[in-house]
Amino acid sequence: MDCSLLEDDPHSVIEAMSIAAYATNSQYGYVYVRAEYPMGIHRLVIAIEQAREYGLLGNQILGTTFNFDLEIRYGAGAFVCGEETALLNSVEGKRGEPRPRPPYPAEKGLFQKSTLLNNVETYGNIAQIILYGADWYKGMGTKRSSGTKVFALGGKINNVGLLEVPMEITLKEIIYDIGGGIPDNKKFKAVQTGGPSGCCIPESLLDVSVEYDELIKIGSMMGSGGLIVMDEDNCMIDIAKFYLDFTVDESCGKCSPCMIGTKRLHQILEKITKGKGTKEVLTTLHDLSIAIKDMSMCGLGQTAPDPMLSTLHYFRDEYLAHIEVHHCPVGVCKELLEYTIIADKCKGYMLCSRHCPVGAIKGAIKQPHIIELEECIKCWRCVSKCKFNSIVLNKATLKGIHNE
Amino acid sequence: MSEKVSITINGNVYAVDKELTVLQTAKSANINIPTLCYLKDINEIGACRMCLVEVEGMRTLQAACVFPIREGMVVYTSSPRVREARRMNLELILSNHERSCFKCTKKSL
Ligand code: FES
Repeated sequence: MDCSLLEDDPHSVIEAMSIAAYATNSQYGYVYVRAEYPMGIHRLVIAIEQAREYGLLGNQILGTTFNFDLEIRYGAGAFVCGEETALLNSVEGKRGEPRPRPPYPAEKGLFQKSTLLNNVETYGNIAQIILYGADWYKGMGTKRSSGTKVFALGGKINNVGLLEVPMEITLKEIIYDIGGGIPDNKKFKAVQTGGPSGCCIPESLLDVSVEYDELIKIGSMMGSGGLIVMDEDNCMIDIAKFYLDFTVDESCGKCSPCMIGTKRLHQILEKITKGKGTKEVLTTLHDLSIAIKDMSMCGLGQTAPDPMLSTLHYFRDEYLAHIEVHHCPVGVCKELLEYTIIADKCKGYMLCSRHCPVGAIKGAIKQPHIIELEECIKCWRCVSKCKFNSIVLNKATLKGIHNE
Repeated sequence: MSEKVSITINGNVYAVDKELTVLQTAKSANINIPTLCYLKDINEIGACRMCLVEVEGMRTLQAACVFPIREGMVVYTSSPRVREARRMNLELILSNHERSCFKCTKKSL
């Protein structure tokens, strides 16, 4: 979202930064951009040069005694560098690791000087507010969260893209009215707000409005404004694992709860998706995530368990299905599926049985083969080798209650 | 003479130098806070999170070794929440450890 602002209207950011600098009496500003946004950077560079040409940056701006200039710093794309103190370290040229707070950036920030640090999106609003007045801005949205917010709508939704909405709008309106609903008439399952560390909101809570407080009340957050929609084909444990995978990768490795804790959470989820989980594991998952949230140094660790915690809370029966009857209700978890050969389609070429690492496929040449389920290690190799698509994956036969 | 501030640790009020951290204050008051990564003047990064304490008004637990004190601060160094967190943390650190401590050359007896 911020990238789109830098691409489409970099001048507004520059203007807002000089206003902010004027207000805080500062003389130098930095724009921290990921180097992976070449277009945004390119246009920002042009915009800065133009601003210098017109005397809107540099010495004695608009004939006053106020001096302000800007510099662009490129980030290498670490997720943790979105955290303010890690960002400051990165701008200083150090490793992108958070610093202990306090002292907060306002007291001792960049190069140990007091620093004002804001998001591009925040700056994008400033010039408009000054132009039209605070009342105009407050007129949009709700009392506690005024103005508009840009969301990046993605996932299983018809209209994918960026949208700017007033804050009072509900998630339902965003998904069904603006997003156009779920493709192929599938059923909605959950929506994940706030980027990789937000929570998954189930259908029952779709009527909450997108406000900072409301989202925090249900355990989520506005975060970066990402909205990822999931439909009935998504396994929530798989989703939780996916997000944890990301945080395990992106954890900077400075403090132990985040570095080791997220890894352990991921391992537990991995076990569950392989049908090796036990019921006690759910308590461990819960306690461990609460502890990680409490102990971590920066926002990354403090929110990393959130996607998992929310799925554990709202989709507990799915966890139980994986654990108790080794069944993935939507058939996503590969290890919980049964591999069978359709006898009619099988031409008996023996390709699969030759490639099966454990010799689980039996049958003579030119005869339909069968897979011995006890021996099968679910490695997928036979499926990829078969030229006739005769090997299919079935949801494992249910023994328990979670029949769907 | 540096300025003094008063800080409450586990219900007792102490008047100490303004420049100290929570850990140093606790040490001077004979309150033990376990540490691992802290090495005075050399390594003060607050990374291992063993020295976590509960500071009133803060949402999460805070590392005592890097947390500067301020006037009127209320700290708990041994509340159930703190002890539970430290135990979990040590467990996590151990889970990432070779655990052949008896034959390890780094051990000092
Ligand atoms: S001793 Fe390691 S964080 Fe304080």
